[in-house]
Amino acid sequence: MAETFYAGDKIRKYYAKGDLSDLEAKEHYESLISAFPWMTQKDFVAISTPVLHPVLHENFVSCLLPVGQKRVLFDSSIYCAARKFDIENKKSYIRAYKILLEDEVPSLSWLPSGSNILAIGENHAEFGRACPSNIETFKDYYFSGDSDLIESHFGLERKRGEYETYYGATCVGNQVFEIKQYCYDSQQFLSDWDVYAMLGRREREVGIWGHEDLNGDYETAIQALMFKNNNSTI
Amino acid sequence: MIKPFKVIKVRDEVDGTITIFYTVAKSVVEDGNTQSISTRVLTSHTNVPRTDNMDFDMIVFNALEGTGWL
Repeated sequence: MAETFYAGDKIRKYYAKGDLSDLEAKEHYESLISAFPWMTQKDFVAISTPVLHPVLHENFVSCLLPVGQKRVLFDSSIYCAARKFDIENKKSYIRAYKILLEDEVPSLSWLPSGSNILAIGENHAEFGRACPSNIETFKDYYFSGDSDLIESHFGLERKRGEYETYYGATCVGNQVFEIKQYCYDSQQFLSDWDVYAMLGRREREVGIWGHEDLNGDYETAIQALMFKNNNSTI
Repeated sequence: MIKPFKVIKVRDEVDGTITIFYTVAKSVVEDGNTQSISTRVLTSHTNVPRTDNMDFDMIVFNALEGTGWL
């Protein structure tokens, strides 16, 4: 399993393709494909269990798009993207995860001190596809920080990944509707948001691959990954 | 509104139809392996009778839907 997030009593699990047997993959994708016949299993690298959205008040299944499809749909400010499916109402939209430049990071009054905004989730309708109403009314902020402080600040139960824990906040304007605790028990392809943010920001700053400063940042990022790996309790 | 295709050119034909040239791209996971992802790009065209207030994007969307490209 790639990821588990907790939001109060709600739990969502995210499975990478490699986490599922052929039978499990079929089961996870079957209901989606029957509701959205234009979709195939090959369109995604990971799929989640359904979870109730705090603003839209419907259950949504998330599917992570391959990085190539993200590049087809967005510019380099978007690090990754997922399609969100409301199976009941046969509607969908795209969540784009934007890595911010230093001068784009918003000042958020509800954010605990010492926390770092790593990305913002912005929602987009797709041409020709039925889309839920009000997706433009909310944003998701993804951040890291001291877990003790964050749990205490928002009154959260203690939920920690053995490898890493990050946080998300679904907000309408400045009002926080939900805090999500993303837990990773091992290092895998979704587990290192801080490193992705570092790389994504630098890619945006440099604009092209291969810049000598960018190479330096990749080395820094790889060292950060190795450090995390060596210090993991796994 | 985002879309994986783009209308490149629209050409009026002498027979009263129009030809819409477009490009579309799609990235897929091969054989269930997240390490094996390929992105394919298609440039093509569709020819339709000319009418008033044509929505070229919608014509391309309708041409591509069900083909596996969307």
